Amino acid sequence: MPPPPLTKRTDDKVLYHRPAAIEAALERALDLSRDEVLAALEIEDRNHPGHIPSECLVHLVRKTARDNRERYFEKLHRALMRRVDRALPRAEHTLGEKVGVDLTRDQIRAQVRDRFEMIVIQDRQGGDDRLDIFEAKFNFGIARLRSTAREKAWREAGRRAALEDEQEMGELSLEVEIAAGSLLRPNPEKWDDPTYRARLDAAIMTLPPEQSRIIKMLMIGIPIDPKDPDAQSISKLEDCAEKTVRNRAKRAILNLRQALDLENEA
Amino acid sequence: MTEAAPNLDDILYAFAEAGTDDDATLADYIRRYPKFAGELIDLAQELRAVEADIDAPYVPDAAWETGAWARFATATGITDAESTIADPFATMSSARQVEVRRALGVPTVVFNAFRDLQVDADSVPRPFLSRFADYLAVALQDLKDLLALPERTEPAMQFKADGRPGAAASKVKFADLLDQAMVPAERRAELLRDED
Repeated sequence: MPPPPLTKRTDDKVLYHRPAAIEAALERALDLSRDEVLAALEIEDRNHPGHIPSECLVHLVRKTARDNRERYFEKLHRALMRRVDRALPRAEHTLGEKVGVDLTRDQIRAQVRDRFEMIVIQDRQGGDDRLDIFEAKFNFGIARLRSTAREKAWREAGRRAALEDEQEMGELSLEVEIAAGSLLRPNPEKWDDPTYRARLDAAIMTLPPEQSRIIKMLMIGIPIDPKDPDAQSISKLEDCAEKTVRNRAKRAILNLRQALDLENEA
Repeated sequence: MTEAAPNLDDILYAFAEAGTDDDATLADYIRRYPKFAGELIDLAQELRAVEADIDAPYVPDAAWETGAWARFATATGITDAESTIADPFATMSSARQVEVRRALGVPTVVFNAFRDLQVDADSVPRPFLSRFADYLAVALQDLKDLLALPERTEPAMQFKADGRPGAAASKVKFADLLDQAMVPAERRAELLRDED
């Protein structure tokens, strides 16, 4: 018998649904004994056939309800929290030989932990269906929580970015285009290197949101200021002056270069 | 022409389903929903970061897990000793009982023996028990755990159980139950078949 459908609906009244692979994994998980479930939860390799996807673990936690015989529910709860924690940014990071703590990442981690804890409690108390998203697309749910936490962390970090936008960054136009090109579109050999892409992705995540968005738009080929006034541009999408975009872009590129060079030394 | 304002959550969810690894998909969504360009980009980056973090070396934070559980237990009133087993029979209407019994193809007395927790779960072939659990909308293990509880007081009918005295030994074996319910031999064999 297939697992019960989710109840949360989109704005168009369409039910959220589990992908077919998750549905199949859930059917298998529901057929396991408790000991088998606990053993399978130890499998961390997501490609292992016995691995229980996090979406299924969310379902098991909800389904187990108040039954905590032999601390079974507690074990499921702990396993779920571990899955959440593993999907969060690590506060500790290495720069060369130094190990530091990134306060923004630390704040994001703490906020998402608290938020998720509350969602699980409220789900148990019958308050809402927000956990449905985690049963359908776990990483999406986590990414949304992270995104909200990141915005908040940067907002609380102050108005530094706004003030910096006003400061002149020197000759900008051509210089920014060239710098962005060499960083975001290096030679094909470097670009196809997954290590470079992973490091670049990680470095972009350390930027303030207004900088990282501009970098991503440059990466997918959206121009800063198009020749055609009807075409899409970063200054239009970000609703700010071309000069501000270039300032932010230049600052972002400097930050990225610094982050990547520091990692190169490691 | 007026169109309903697109909902950010729905657009982001649709984007996540479309596959966020692909820059062309991101560019397409930004073109279609320029108002949410920032949120789409944030989500795409965040999803990639989630994937990377999951695969990165990780040291579990046992202290936080313990704290999270303690906060959950306090907020929801769960205690270590709590042992509440959801009883699917308790809320089942008579009509539904008949429906399930017919779907399983067993006489009423057999169904009632399960309902009254008189059956030794270990003696029931897994395919039958699994189907029973499905019809009750509970996990197989939950049905086994339920059947392991002491039988209900004053059951409608008593069945003869063989074996040693004691709570577990008082349960009737499935095969004996079918015999006592005079299930025809052919049907009995089907019900006792231990494979799908």
